[in-house]
Amino acid sequence: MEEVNGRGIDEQKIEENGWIKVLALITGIAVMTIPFTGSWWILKFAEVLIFEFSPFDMRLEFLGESVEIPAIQYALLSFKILIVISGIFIVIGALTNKWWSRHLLRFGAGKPAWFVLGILITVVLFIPLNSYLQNMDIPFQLPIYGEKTVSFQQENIRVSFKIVSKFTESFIYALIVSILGLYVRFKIKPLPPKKV
Amino acid sequence: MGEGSLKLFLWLLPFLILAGSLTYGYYQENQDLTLFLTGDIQEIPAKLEKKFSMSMSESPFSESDFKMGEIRTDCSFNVSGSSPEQAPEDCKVSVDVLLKSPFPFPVKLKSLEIDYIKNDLVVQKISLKREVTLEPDETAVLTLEGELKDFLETSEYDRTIMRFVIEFMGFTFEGVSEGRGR
Repeated sequence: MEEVNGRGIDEQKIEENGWIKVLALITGIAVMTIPFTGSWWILKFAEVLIFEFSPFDMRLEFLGESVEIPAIQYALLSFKILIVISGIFIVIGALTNKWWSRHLLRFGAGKPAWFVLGILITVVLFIPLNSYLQNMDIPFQLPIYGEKTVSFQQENIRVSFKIVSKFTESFIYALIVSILGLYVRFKIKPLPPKKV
Repeated sequence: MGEGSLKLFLWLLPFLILAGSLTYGYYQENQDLTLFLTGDIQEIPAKLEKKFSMSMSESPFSESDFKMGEIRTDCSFNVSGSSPEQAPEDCKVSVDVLLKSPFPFPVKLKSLEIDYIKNDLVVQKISLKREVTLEPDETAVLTLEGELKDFLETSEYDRTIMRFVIEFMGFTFEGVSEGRGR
């Protein structure tokens, strides 16, 4: 049997399992579309602060003024490029049956889960912020998910406003694609150790 | 390319893309890739304070902001020179009131009720028919509605009580303010 890198060529190819390749192809195309579906998480503080965030884009508006953090914008651009490349790698891996196909597939299929996990961790980081607000005697807390109406009275004026925090449909889409990706990655096993 | 090289390349790829993107950004932003917020943010604290201090003030509207316009009735009844006894039952009257917005920013006036009080009794009550957006430096026409009978009975009053609900940027301010009589 012909050998490359200490293993038989056939051993390195992905088993001729039609349905997993079709699933990988669909997943690859879906992965490429993820960064273009919009924000994953939205935080609105009345209409004073609007924060729309995904690992690929960010919009921060304060009193109608758009605010940007250049370093973060370019970091998010790199994540956008990375996820599109991941999708392309999955598609190439699904359409070819070379020794490197498995590597490309496994590389691409795991990436959406990184980003989903990353955004969940980012949102959970808001929980300590609430205790900070409480310490500062600010009469409200940021909901991690949901809508909250805050109202307070000052002399003869009563002020009320809404705080909204929600995951969007784009996040649900990314979550489904990341589960598909993990499934494809699980099905396309890593290569066995090299024969000595 | 061997398997080891491919693995190394794939491992390094995310970091290479990140480094490439940040380098690109560094030159795009004239070698000043900051982690600080950019935009017209210097004016934000002042703007916020101005908006809130005005809306939270005891009386954002003063009586002099309002100018009474034409009084209309929905029944065939002559307002001037008639006596209260002659006023038909359930006859509504609407008054166009000109209000120059005291706010230097757009505000939605959701509701407005003015009670005219004499000897601790409400002698006239008018309220806003529909919500109005008050633009800065513009005079809005508010259509206030009340009972004709009340209008005819009121020639003088001790004080007014104004209840209003204004809304801007998602904040709702419900307030009560008191005015002088005549």
